Amino acid sequence: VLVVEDDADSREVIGRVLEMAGATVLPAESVAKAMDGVHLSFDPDVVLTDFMMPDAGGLDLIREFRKVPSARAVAVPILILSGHTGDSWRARAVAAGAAEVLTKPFDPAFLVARIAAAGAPGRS
Amino acid sequence: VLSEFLETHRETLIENSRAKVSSRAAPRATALELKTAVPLFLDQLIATLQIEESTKARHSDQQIGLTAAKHGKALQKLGFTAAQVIHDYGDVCQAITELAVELDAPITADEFRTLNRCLDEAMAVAVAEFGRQREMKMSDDETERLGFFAHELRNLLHNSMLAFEILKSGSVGVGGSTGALLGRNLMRLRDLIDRSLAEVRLQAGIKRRERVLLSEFIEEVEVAATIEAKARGLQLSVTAVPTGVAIEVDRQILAATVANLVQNALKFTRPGGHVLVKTHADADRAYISIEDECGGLVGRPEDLFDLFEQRGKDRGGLGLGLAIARQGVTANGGEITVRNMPGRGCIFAVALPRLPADGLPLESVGAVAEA
Repeated sequence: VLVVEDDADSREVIGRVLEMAGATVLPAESVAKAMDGVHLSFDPDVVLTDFMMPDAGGLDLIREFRKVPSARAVAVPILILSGHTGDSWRARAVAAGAAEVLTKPFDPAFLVARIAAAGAPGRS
Repeated sequence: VLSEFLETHRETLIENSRAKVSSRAAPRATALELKTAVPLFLDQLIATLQIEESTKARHSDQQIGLTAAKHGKALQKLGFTAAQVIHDYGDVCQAITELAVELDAPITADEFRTLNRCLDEAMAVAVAEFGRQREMKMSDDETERLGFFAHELRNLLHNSMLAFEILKSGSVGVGGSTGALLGRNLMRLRDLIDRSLAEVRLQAGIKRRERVLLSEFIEEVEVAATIEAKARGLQLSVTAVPTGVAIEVDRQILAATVANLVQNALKFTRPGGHVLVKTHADADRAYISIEDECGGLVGRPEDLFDLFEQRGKDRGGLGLGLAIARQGVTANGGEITVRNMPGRGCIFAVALPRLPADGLPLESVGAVAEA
């Protein structure tokens, strides 16, 4: 799971939850770092990204991913999480192609279940 | 006829009004005011007087009221103050009267009365609209701040909840990095709430000042800061505090203020770095300075005290800290300054009025605070 989150504590604690559930976690502090990793060797089954980050946000990440010349990368499910409530950001995320939108705070078991569901179809 | 007189001499009147507006001592004229506001007011007056003269009725009040409301709204958006709006109308009116006298224009007393009435109405409506717009903007700002606050609280709470769940599972020990993460986020929650409460208290105004020994005050600051420095893996030093130095302050507000400065220093200091808290006093003042190793400031140091100013990667916080710090120090009769040390860090220095050596508290503190 590629976890893109600018807040170091959030990145660490989300990564820990996913690792405990058996995932291999690739943490990245920005969209640019995430894409650098993808171009090098990252080949995630699922991407979990924060919605709002200082330089580029979750929607930018979706756009970047869709440009990668790899069928797997183009099809990878991207989940967006945010502390914001309200429908406008949710609608924008879905319109941009997000597989699912999650609102903070959430239960760790819920996060694991959503990541597993997103990564499961047609994947080993 | 007055409206014809205004139209004929429009350019002269604009020039004379601008001269008046720009020569006044306060409120000082802005370029925008001279360029935009003066012709606007004059044209508004001409249009209203024309209606008045053609109908001989007073329903032009309504007309000038409508245009004045529009102007009040536009002027607020352009950043004019209510005082500027009132003075600009007054200056235009004066320029008209003076030119009429100078050229001995055949204007009747009735027409001058109409002119005055139009001005009164324009001023009243423009200023009322101006005030309404300002209140709406303040309300919007407040909502935005509340949104930031809730968002920040939610993020910290989220981190804490996840960390707690991990600890509860028993797979990691409390003394490890997850426990430290929980502690760090709980501390940030506490700081955020403390800061908000200090702000609420500041807005309510200082009601209670008390005599505080500088040494005791710094001791309290040191206890909290040491815990945080340790959690962040930083070194904190507090130099020896001069004995017998007393200040008269609202303890809670000053504590929140200095705590903000120390937290900022810890937040922006490079990993493994050092934060130094120093104190000294002269005959009139007590000084507290906080020196960090943030690497130096980008931009103008004084802008750091603006609301919502946020620099650096760690966006934990609302950007309210330093704005509140300045308010907190000022409310206690002191001053706050920042000095940049490029490539190294910066020093925030707080100077507070020192109590006389006998240390007796001042009388009628409430009156001082309210003044």
